[in-house]
Amino acid sequence: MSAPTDRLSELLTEELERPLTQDEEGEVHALLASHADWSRDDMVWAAAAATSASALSAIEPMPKELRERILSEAADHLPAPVHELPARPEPQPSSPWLPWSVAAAAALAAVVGWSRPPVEVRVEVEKVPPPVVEPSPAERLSALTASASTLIRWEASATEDPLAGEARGEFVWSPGRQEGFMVFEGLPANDPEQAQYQLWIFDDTRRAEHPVDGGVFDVGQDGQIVVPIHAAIKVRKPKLFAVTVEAPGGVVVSERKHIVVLGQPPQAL
Amino acid sequence: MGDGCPVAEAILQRLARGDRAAVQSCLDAYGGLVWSLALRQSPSRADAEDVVQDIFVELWRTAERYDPSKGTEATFIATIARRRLIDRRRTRVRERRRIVPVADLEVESIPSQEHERIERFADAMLARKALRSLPPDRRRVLLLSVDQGLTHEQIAQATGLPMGTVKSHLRRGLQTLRNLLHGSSEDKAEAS
Repeated sequence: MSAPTDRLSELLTEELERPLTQDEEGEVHALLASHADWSRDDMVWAAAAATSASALSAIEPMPKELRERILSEAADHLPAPVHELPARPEPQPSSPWLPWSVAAAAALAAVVGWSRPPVEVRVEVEKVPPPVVEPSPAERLSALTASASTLIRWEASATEDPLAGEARGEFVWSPGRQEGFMVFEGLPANDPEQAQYQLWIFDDTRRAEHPVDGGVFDVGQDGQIVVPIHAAIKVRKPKLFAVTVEAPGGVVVSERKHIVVLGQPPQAL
Repeated sequence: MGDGCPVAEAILQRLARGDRAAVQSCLDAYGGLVWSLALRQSPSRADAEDVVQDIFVELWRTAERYDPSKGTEATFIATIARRRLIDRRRTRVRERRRIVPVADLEVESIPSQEHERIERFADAMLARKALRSLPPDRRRVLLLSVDQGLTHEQIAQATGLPMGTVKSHLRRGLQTLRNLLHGSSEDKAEAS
């Protein structure tokens, strides 16, 4: 084994134990570039195979209750089912008689057309599949509400803040999928160059000083929007959604000068 | 590498397509493996149950990333399990681990009637052979790491070996496995 490979395997083994330093990262990249038969996760797979090997002789069945829990929650985390379309019938090979038969049919149609009222001629055009279009937030919201087994739906209401306008709507959140949407109307349009709205999710398992950043968004002139929620980290037990007005790009810690929309469980209102 | 049986190979692809029925198949095929790994590396059954749920949630979400050229489905699932177990280990505060006596950490033989059942664990079978072929010290160090989930420092304490030796044993042991999984004839000959 060459010395560079020794060093590479040393670094990749070390990475199983701790994150590599910046210098080590650079070294790994350089070594991988010159060793095409190695990849970054080689030692991860080797360790996983060894882990499985060590467990093989004593595999215990998973407890039934645990299996049931996993089964019941799986649908919340799987991708949406892909329905495969039936195969299109193969086009028939063209016949040397086809042009003649087409011409004959046309002649017959012309004769019939003289003697009978014109009939509607329907031309069968091969349907071209529409281009793949990403579903809109509203469509994704519909899909989420139709498929998620557990869904939080809390009313969104404007605060007394002068920037809140007549905002109202709903916060929709799937704890299982860690995915959700804000549906608002009446929230004043913003100039993204001047300020942006930012969502915060207060999690009962975290300190209130550190709500989860739910992402920044803009509101256009019509004031009606469906905005995906992009929680920066896992939200375990949401207890409050709050929208603030922040500098463009959002902030890491809000000063909470302008809290414009709130959403809470019904019993908390 | 990656010679799992065709039926098992299809499970992760089906999950990636959102096939709900594949969840049952996956739990049938790999539920016991994940549960056993979690039990071995968790301080309690409750902890093991928590981490197993996390592992499968991650699997449902990432099944599409499985690349059969890297290894079997079982090994892919074990990579997720290992990472989750390590994360748990790192977040546990003042954990007092039960360290299994080194003499007990041997690679046991498998009853012949189980061979068919574990065909899907082709990588693991190969790794088992490789583990048996390692010098005893190297094997013990590797098993303390992969089976018990001990850190390098904990392994040094448990074995009395210098830290540098622990790291060296781990690196060499894993490299043997890695070469074997990649089809290095030299290492395959050594393992068989």
